[in-house]
Amino acid sequence: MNKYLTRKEEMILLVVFRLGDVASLVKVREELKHITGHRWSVGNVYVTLDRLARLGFLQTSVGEPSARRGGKAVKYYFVTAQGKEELVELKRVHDRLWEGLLGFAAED
Amino acid sequence: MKKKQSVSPPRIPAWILSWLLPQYDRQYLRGDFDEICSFGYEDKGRLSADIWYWKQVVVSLPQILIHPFIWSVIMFKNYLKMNLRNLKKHKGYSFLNIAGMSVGLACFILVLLFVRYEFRYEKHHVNAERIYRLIVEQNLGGGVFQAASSPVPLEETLAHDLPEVEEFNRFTQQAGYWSHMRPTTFMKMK
Repeated sequence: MNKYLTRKEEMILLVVFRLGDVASLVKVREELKHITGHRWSVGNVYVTLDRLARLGFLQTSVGEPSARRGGKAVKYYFVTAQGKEELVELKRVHDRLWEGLLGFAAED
Repeated sequence: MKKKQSVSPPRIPAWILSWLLPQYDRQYLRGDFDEICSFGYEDKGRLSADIWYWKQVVVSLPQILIHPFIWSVIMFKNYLKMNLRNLKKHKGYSFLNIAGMSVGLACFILVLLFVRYEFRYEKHHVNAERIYRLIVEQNLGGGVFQAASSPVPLEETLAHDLPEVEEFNRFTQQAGYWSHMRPTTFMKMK
């Protein structure tokens, strides 16, 4: 793996992983707002989810339509085994990069 | 509460958005927008949720309009690169092609300039189509010669005898420039 995911892709992949079974676009967006504290546009989240699905890190399944959604079905996203591997790899790289630096960062 | 839930999102932006969204995920995304909007009705009220829906359309329009342009520029750059590489690869053929094209184009431009000049000649006069130049055909020793010069008294004779001739004028070339030849000058010369 010579090309890493961007920060945004990594964040969204983690959020999908965190949400488990209910990771629809709306839920992912709410969770992102809850964690980061600022609003994420629908397009921003959707494009990233779509890209991750194309790369094979996410798979999708279609849920039940509801009245709240105007009678349209919902699309759920799940992290694939490949996506989990990628997350572990990213975590390893991050830990290596941060090794021994946390103390310095906290001082400033 | 129940009454609020039955309120449907604004129709016009929903229709525009559904037209702009990618085909394969259109249904799900429309559902997502409707869901967010219906939560908005409960949390923030009807007006701000409707404004949010409209804002989604307005914000996404510039990108969607610019996108095809950007991609066509990128593709054009790619075509340019491919053609340059082809020219480099097939040098002889490229030379023939470019040389032939330039010679042809040069000929075309020269012919065009010549024809344009010939057709525009003396056309700047008012009533240019009613002005004629007198040309004399001379039979000399069996051969026919055409000459632009004519005998001096011929104009006056023609103007006198033919009612079609409204006015006439003479000019001559003297010392490299064309000068108007007045009857008085003519009289003096005589």
